[in-house]
Amino acid sequence: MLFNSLSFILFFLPVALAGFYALAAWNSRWAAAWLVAVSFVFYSWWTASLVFLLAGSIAFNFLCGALILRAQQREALQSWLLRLGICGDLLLIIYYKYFFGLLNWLGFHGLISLSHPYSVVMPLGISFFTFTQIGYLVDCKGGVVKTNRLLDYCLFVTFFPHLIAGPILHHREMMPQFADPKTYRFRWENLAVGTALFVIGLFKKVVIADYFIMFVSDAFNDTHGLPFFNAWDGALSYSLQLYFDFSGYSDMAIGLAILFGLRFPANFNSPYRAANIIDYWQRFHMTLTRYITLYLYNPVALWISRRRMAQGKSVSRKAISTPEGFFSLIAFPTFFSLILAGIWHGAGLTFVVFGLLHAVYLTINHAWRSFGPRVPETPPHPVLRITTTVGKVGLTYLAVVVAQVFFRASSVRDAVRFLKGMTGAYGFSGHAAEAWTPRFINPHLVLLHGFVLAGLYIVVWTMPNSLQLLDKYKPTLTEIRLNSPILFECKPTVVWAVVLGLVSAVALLEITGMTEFIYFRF
Amino acid sequence: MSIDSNHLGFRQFLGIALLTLVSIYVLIWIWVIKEPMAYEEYDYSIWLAKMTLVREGKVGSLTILGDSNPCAALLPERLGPGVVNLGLPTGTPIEVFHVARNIIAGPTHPKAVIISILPSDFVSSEHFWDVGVSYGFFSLRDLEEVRAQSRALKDDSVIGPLSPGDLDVRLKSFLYDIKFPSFYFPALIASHGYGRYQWNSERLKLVLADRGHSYFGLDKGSTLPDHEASLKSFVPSKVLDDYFNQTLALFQSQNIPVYFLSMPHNEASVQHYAPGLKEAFAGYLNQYAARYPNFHVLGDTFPIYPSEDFGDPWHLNEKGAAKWSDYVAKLLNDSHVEGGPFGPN
Repeated sequence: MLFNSLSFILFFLPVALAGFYALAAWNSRWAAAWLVAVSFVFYSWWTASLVFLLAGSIAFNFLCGALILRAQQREALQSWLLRLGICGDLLLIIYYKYFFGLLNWLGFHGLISLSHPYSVVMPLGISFFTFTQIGYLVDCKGGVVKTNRLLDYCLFVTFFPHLIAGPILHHREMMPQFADPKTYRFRWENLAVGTALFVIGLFKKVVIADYFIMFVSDAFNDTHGLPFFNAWDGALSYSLQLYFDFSGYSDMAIGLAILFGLRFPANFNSPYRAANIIDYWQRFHMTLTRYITLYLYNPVALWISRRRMAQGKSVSRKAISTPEGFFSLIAFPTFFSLILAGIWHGAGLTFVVFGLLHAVYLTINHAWRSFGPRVPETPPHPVLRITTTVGKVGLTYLAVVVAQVFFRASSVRDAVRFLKGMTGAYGFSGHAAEAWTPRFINPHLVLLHGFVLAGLYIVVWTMPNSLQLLDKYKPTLTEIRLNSPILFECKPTVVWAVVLGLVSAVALLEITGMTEFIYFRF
Repeated sequence: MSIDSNHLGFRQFLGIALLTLVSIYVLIWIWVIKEPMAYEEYDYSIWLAKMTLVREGKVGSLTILGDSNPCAALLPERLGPGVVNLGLPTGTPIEVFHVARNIIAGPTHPKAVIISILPSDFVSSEHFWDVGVSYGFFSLRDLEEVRAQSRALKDDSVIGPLSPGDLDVRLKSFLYDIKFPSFYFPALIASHGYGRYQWNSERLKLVLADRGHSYFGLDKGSTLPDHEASLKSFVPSKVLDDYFNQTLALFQSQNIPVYFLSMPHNEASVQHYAPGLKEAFAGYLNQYAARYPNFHVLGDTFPIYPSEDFGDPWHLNEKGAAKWSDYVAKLLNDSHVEGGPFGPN
């Protein structure tokens, strides 16, 4: 089911909310069970058989977790159980996400004989709920998980606002909320704040992100001889589509959680305002960054540190400032984590290149910090300060856009051709695809599109984001820095109520078809 | 929550937001229901004209049913005084069946019927919701039938993915039936709310005066490929096939002869057609001809016309339609089709 569908907004959500608070007034456990039930309905909306897959995955991981917790004094057994759990999860994800792609690739290159290409329908959100559960198992083994209750665990995995595309939750932040009776108490504040965030997210998705769909597909579907302006328009349109699609989704997910009295971690914090790539990853898909750091980067870095110490080598800050130390303690874990993060998005080589590019960016960023010249963080002169900030943000954004071309393109060859187009290698204007797409023939539409792009960049780079607007009500578990003027702080006033009503009306009116969120396919 | 003097309670805040939302919605809703001619897509007036002709029982002695191709290609004025063209833009066997049912329920029945549907319109129906349903052509009961049939045949190609209890489809049908404004908002924006009134009104009059005929593209030629060029093979949708079957059965029960007449394809498209497409389509039609004694296939199932006779990749222009209509009049006379003789009025 999609958050941006009329069935969800007019039917599913009101029923889920009414049932939840009606049962919560009676017994909070029943309310939790109701949420699990409606989450299963949400997940299996179009494919009923998926209930068994999700239920099976939950049962398997819960059992593994319970056995790991029970074997507390037996380290070796715990390790084996953890490996079993992780292998089971990875096999599931490999089967649905990578196996058939690999099989077809081998067949295509004549390495095995295939009578026809094979495929399987990838269950929605499989990457999200599988990785959430792997994290849980690791924490069971690490002693972070103390107790496990089946109902709370089911709710932690299935709770529909995060089930399909995150945020990737950590049980430590959710389990106490599930156990807290206050969560199940109806509060008008939650209804107002949750609705506001949901509506903002819906607006971002159906009004802004979906506006770019045709522009993006025009540019990316035919990269042959793509001229400079078309290529840049496609790249920037995709960049904004991804931004508003994913931030819209994240706002909706967080808003929905608030409607049910729960708080999620923030997932999106104006990433295009990042002044370097390290900062970018702390703002974009924040819960994925946290997951990668916790369960990939840190264990690898720790393993390398232990090996170095066993070899009598230093792991201090001074060691990192040597090329050999930098490579083993920073560059290697970064490449390892980011390439896996790239592959997490999908089986294609484009995702590997996407991960690889970001690994290079991050390594350069770290290297600059370790080996680069020492310059003051904030230059003393205001003009210099602004210029430096614009330069840093611009350079970071450019690097991000280049990687996004690989993220969106259907093959590495297409992506390379697209990037060549962005350099002007195929000329500056005029494209065969225009015969099919009259959008760029009308100069008024070109101008209007230009204004839309410019206006949205002003919003992206200068306006407070939705979490900052509602910061006063702590919409997430994450502290989002508030640098916005007080004028933009959302308050329960008549003006804001009318604005919310208007935004809701436009967003609802724009729901005509059903376009999937970009992150639903991961 | 702390409330200062300018602040409302959250309950009041939500109340005002809801009131704003409802006010805007109600205003737009009234406009959507009251003035479809002011904002609807240009095909709306053609649909409205055909619905009017059927409602008034002006179906002629030879009724033409089908999609937009016969609508543009067959000129009643060149075919004869008793010919009425009820071809519908984006029409598929589902729309054709419903027109047929409305004709049979009406006071006058034609002596014969011509059906002309493109092969691609047997394969999928991309515009079922946003054209026929959106224009109010189907009742809630009709939509329920389509849903039930899709469910029974396990074919969601027309109505979209089937959810538990088909709630998605039922809700969508209901919302279309009450003219829920969201479905009409793109047309409202594109028309600036009122921009299509004059055009739609004039076109409605014209189509009624021309007994259902309407041109689409009016260029002096087209060399772009048509829909059939994108078909890899001819595999009819189960639901669309079922409605075609129902249509033939309906006319059979009324002893009304039905003639299938394919409209010309652009010669520029021929090179793009999948091998075997033409034979598969002919085989499909012949199988029905064998099953229903009142059903006959007239002429070639894939006639080809020069590119200069097309006003766009799919539809004949004025020159092409005149040429084709004259040919069809002769073909109908030669085949002794009921309701004749055929020829210019």
